[in-house]
Amino acid sequence: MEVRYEKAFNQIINFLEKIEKELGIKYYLVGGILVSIYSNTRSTQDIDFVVDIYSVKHNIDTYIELLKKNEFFPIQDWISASNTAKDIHLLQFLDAQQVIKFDNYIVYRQSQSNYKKLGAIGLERRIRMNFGGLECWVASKEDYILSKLVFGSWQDYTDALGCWLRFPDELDRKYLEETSKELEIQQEYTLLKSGIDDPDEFFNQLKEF
Amino acid sequence: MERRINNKFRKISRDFKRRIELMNRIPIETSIALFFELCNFNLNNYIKTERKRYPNKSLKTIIMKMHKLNNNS
Repeated sequence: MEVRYEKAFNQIINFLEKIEKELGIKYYLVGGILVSIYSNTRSTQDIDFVVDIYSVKHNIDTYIELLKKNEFFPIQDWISASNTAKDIHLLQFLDAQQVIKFDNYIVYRQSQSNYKKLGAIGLERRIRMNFGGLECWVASKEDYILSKLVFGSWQDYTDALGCWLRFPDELDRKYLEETSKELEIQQEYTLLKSGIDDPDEFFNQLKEF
Repeated sequence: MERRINNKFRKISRDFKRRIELMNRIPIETSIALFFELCNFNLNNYIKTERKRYPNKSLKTIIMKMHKLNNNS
């Protein structure tokens, strides 16, 4: 079996570790790639992560130059990718095999959007771990839950609920309480801690609010 | 009525809480290996199926369609 996903994972982690060490660009993994460690193992097709380029005086274009030099490819072309990233602070590109897509969120501290606030919030509490033999930075359990509640699809709620049920004694509830207010997801968090244990019930009850 | 019964069976067959409890009994290295295996299997299977259906399609076109479907889901 071709190990396309690991190849892409190894390529991106080697790149991110290198730019953090050499240029001080901090990063951490988020989203579906963390399901096996935080909730319930399922398949995913892309790899999501956050980078903080602006704090070290880089910008979208200088960052894209780094990607080009390290054998990453645009989905269409780099100019379109750059224009979109400047607008929504999300850069999408492919690995060297041109198979696996990366959703690269850029920390943008000026934004008032809850989606965008997540990047900077999660960076403060990122944790170091060995993932498939590679040392890398990942979002904390709490920030994993909060981001899933902000994004809010059925799958996101399922992942958040999975993490909540899996680590009942390890989660920092005070942090979750406070940050869920900041991110305006109190209803979602209240329902999560209510004792609910099925994704459909969680999703349907939220729709009724 | 029928929908309520369906939802009940969905919950029973999913047994989400038990599945999550089971996740805690799997060593983390195994869980990560399983995750990679699952991602590779689904990806390779999708490519194989699409290549069989559309032998003239390039790998890039197949992949773009997959990501487009994924974004819309």
